[in-house]
Amino acid sequence: MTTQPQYRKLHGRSGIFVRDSLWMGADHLLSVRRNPFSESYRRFYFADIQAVVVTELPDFLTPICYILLAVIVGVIILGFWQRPAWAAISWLVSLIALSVAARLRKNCACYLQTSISTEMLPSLRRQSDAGKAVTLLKAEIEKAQGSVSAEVLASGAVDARAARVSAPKPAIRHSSGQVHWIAFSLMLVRGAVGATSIKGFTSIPLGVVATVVGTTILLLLILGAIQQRNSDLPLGVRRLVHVTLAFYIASGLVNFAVSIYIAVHLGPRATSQAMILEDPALKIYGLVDVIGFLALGCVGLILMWRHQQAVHTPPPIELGNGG
Amino acid sequence: MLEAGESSCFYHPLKRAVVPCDRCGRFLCALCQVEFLGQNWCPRCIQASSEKGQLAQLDPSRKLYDNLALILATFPALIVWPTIITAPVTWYVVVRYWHAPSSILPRTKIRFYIAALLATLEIGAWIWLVLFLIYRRR
Repeated sequence: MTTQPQYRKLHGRSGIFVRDSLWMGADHLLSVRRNPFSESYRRFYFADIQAVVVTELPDFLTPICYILLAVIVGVIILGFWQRPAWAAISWLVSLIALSVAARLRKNCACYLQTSISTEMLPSLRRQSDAGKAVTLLKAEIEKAQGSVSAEVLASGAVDARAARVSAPKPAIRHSSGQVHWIAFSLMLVRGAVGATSIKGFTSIPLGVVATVVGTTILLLLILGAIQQRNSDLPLGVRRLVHVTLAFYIASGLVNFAVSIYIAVHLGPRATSQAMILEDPALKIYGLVDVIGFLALGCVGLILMWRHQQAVHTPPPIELGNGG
Repeated sequence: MLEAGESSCFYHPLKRAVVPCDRCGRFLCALCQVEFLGQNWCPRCIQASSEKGQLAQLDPSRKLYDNLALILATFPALIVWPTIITAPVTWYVVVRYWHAPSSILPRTKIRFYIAALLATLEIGAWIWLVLFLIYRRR
């Protein structure tokens, strides 16, 4: 006798070679981890589930997805009419990178709490998927356990369980954002140095300054991204650091691609440095790079200034009625 | 405890039987009786069925032989020459594991069909190549 249970797939999937997915059975939730040769299963019975906890996480890959999308569109517009083969290869590479980045995108972590364990549900990586899955799960759990009325919740009958289930939140600490100030200021310097290069003022010292400043910005951004975790810095600043990091990486990749393009495009005809610097592709890249650094630096400084104002502004004095 | 005239448990002769196993018919005491899928099972039947892969409700993992066959049929074909070994191996996997329990999730046998088709084509190509070389030498 072979008994084959019926399963319905829930939203969400993760991984490329090792994939996780969630399936709903008649009386339990099935978490499946699949590699190319086998599947392993974890079963969570609806009667045993105490809570489903969804935690928001910083999203690093969404900005990269948008940048890759912009690169794809740019390559289609700019490349195909001049160098179709080169444009097609770039388009394909960008498309693969985009699909991988989109697949790995993660902006939440989902945990399932039972009375004896807390298990992560790796397939629920995005808030939209987690929301849909939790809605379906909630209905099944209520069927198995019954629903808790608003009166019971208000009376605090389930407070003890809720207190045990809820994950402890890390303490928020104050951050002056000194690293962010320096990084955003240096981005303006980097933008200015880049602008002089576009105008044709190139020299070895200027190149060294640009490299040193660029490396310092990258290190400061990484340090800032680490420091800002669980700090009181505004969400806008924290997101801007991630966007800037993504922009920095994308800028490096595009620089590499443009260099290869120029090498293929000019080939042995490139007899002088001026000829390379005058190439329109390099000019366009340089312009976008400068605008990006200046814009991100300005926005960062404004956000930091607003944060400082908010921190230093004393709370309003409450006047009593009896005075 | 067992009293005169009462049946005893198959696994615990000193205990009173309360129910027969719905799979093997052995008498079971309250300790050995396991309610499973709406029936009464003995622990040995559950263990045996689980080992044979007949109980999807209890399996912690399953091998995906259809994927294995498909990978054997496709990836070596990229370098061509390993298919002289992998194509027959693919056919062996397809025949040997055709009835083996696969995923407990909804899944068809399409991978097995594609793997068998590709392996047949690869074997056919090798036979054609060998015959071509023999006739060419003559």
